[in-house]
Amino acid sequence: MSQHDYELVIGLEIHVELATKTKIFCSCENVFGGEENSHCCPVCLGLPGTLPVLNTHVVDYAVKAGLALNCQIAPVSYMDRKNYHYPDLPKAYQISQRNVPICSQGHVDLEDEDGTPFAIGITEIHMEEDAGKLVHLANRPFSRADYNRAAVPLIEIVTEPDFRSASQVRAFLQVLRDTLVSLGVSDCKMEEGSMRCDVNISVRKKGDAGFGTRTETKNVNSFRSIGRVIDYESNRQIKRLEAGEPIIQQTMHWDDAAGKTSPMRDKENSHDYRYFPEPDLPPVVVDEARLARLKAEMPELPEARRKRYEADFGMNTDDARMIANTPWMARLFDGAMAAKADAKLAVNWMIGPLVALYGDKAAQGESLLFDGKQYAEFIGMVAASKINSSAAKTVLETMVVQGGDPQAIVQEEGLAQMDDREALLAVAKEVVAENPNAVKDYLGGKEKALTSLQGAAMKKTRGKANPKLIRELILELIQS
Amino acid sequence: MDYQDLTVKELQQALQSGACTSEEVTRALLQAIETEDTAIGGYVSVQPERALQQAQAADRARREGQAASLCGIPGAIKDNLCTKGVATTCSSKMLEHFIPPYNATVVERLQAQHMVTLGKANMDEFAMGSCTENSAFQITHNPHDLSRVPGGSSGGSAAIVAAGLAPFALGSDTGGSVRQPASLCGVVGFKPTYGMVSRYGLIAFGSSLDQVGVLSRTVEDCAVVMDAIAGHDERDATSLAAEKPAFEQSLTGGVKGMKIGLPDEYFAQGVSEEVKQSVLAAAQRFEQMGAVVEPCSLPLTPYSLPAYYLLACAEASSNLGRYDGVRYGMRADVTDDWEEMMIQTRTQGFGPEVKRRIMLGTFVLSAGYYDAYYKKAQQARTLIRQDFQKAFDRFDLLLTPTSPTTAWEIGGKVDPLSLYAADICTVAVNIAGLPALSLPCGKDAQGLPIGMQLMGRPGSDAQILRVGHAYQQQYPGFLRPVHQGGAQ
Amino acid sequence: MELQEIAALADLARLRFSPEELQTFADEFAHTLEFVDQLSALDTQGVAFMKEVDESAQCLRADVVRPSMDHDEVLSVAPQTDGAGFLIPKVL
Repeated sequence: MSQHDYELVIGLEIHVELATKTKIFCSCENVFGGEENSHCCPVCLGLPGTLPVLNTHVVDYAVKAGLALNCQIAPVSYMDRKNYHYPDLPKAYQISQRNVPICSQGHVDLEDEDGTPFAIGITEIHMEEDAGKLVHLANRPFSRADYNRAAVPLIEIVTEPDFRSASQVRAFLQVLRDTLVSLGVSDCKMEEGSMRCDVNISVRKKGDAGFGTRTETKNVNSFRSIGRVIDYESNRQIKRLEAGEPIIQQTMHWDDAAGKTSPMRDKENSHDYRYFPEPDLPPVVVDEARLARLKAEMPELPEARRKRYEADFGMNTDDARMIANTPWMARLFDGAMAAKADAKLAVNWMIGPLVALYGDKAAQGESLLFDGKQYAEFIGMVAASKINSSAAKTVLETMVVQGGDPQAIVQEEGLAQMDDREALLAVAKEVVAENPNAVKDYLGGKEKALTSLQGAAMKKTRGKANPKLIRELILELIQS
Repeated sequence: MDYQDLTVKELQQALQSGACTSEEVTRALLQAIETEDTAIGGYVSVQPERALQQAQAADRARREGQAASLCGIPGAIKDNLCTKGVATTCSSKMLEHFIPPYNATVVERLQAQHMVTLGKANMDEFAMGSCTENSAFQITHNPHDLSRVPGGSSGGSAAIVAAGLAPFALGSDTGGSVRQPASLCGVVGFKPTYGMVSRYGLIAFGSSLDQVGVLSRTVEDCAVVMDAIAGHDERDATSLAAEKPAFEQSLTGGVKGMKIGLPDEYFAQGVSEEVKQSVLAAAQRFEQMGAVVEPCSLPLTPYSLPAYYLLACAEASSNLGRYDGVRYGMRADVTDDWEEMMIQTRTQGFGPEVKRRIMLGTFVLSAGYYDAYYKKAQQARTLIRQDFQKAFDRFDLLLTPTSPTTAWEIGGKVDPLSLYAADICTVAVNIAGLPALSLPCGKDAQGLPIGMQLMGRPGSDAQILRVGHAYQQQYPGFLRPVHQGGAQ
Repeated sequence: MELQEIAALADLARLRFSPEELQTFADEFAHTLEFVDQLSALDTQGVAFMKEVDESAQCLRADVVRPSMDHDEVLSVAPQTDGAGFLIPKVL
């Protein structure tokens, strides 16, 4: 048998750090990095006698993630303790949710790269705290514990084993990340560890109904790695099966440099976590009022927005995805559409010149100095040929740099298109008189010479001449 | 004036009238501690300089007209309540040198009133015990008979108050740890409704059962201290949000017309005849005072002790996981292997009773046993609560003995199970989260104090104190401290 | 209960006992379990075991930053530190 006779069965457990201001159980700032042990207090250090108090935004964000993934939201859920000893875990237990998670039974509908629809079930989403970090000191017999990350809020999203290929996993993660970012729930930066995946992989013969024995590969931290993990681990399993060897259910470690999975130590495979309800925290209640408020706060999600753009404005998928997934673009575009701008022009000017002018600034967090209505005015002037394209670029640049009303910019900079026939005729006469060689060339059959005459006229008018009209006038003069 | 004899209320008046200063009182009590506590062993540590500074600050505040209720009143704090800058050991080698960089909420609230902390009270290690013999540092002796235990786990707090080495002390009560030593030492011990007092900074034993409590010589003093420490705390998610009662103000009103139940099960086998008779005599006194007293039944009482031990130990096994030598507290001298360092730290740092309970708790939570033990105990808890609810449909209060016996000889009980049985009258209150008060009601033939226990429905803390206060007004006795011979 | 089981529990709890201590524990455990097994007589069919919701409990915290502890104060409790963090024997 060959690889093609097997089918992959993949499930994900995704840890997402929430973008709250404070940690999950104390008021320490929730930030990435910083001096070791500088964002710590008695509570997140687990000092004796201290108690956790749940951050209200953690509940809100978990519910929003749940709503976005079509989950049931539990009106009452419970925090549990997961007990194990490790130097990065201050209390020797992690507060998590085991028995009754806040969200469960969701699903995400997706399309494969070739457009084939597929659905992924969401088993549950639960709230929990992160652990600290160990720094392994070179040339010294010590490790050093840093608890800045201890008690940073996480949600863990657990999927059903519904994936059948690495590309489905990638498509899902892409949508998940876009969704969580647009909800403001997380920045989902895999490179900073704010989104991490555990990948459960098994293989089975095509047509088999039962599942094979699975392995769990922990802490895969880039999109690229996930594909490599799936390829490597599924091939490893198929080879074993082909050789008549059994798959051992175990936790694997991914070595990115070597491109290999290897089993974790036995000890880490034989935990008895002794879960029990966290006595320090009351049940987590999401009542009707809170749920209604959170539902009202839900923005249109990128996937829905993309579909709307394709359907309503005839955008191609790439353009629609780019605008839908980029919050500032989506905001500006929707604002411009509300002000009745021409959709095609709005898309083209946005994806081309505006991204070139503002994309980097947006990435650095600089705000956009004009709104959708002003963008619509700008597009309107372009559509009505009140400014020509070179003047339009100048206007857009000024809007990005200084902000303000496009009409005023056109006025102040004197960029309005010259449509006055008399004035343009004077310019045409000058150009024809000053460029006898070009005129001769044109009359000698060189069509291009007309364009150079037109260019000279545009230059004289600092780009303001109505390009079509001036061309006509020049032509008339030459031919008469 | 012998300051050792004075109650909180009497000291308050003396300070207010200018009859004395807090510094004078504090010096006198520090002197008494120095001479008398060697025999008792109530304090695990004393901070004389700090106490005098606090007393001077209190006197200044009073001169400036900013005297809160407990301004300048000295007291002792059980050594499982965190005190910023002062070692908080839980009477364990594990925390022998642990100096918390924060205060427990109750300590913060007392200090905000300029209360003076004389020192930290001895206890059973991590509050696990009923005798204070489980302290890693010293045994505390009962001031009524130095050969006997003071009870526990707040045995230090109870002995200190009984001996007049502080007019009041804070304790903690997980299964009777305030009430039982109060009973054995002849003082008042109050365990509030779960959530009435913040647990922030109380080093956890059984989180769903733990509650900070007060030991004093009068119920009135207890109310004064409750006024200072009770109330919602945003740092404790289990603290009650409701407005706290005005305890001292609610003391008036007596017991007339109040319905008091006597649950049969608390007067059953295992409870000594002298204790039974003494509590029943107190019941008659309540009747004479105008209360209606009737027998009743709490049929689930026999299940409360096993349920309590399962729940308390399960939570303790988790709560005590953090003592691993990494961040604070003791660390065993192992430099080449972090796991071995953790194991040795815990093995060397914990005493036998603590290890016994961690082991039991680990067992009841472990795979395969959770349902049979932990879940079963939680279900028993639900039923025990309902048992009490039914009783409180008929009665305002329930009256029982606090401890089945009076104080026993030090070293007299060694079998863990017979020690656990000492809590038989007190644990159900913690399981159900109720408020309960122990107050002296008599003495046995050997002159050892007997305590009675008043239990109320959740939130009825002020009512219980009112009834206890009415009793003490009518039947004063056993209120003055027992001075130690030689020192006088 | 088998000695082996007690030893496994000790492992989970990160405690170590000598063979004699283990034997003592096993004996005590037998007694303690007998004692707590009284509970099995109680009919708990269908009885709730999770905490009830207390409507009055205000148990969530506003997401507002407060200053963390001073760095030196954090490390003041450490058994061993190099001034940056908590040192422990190397974790491989």
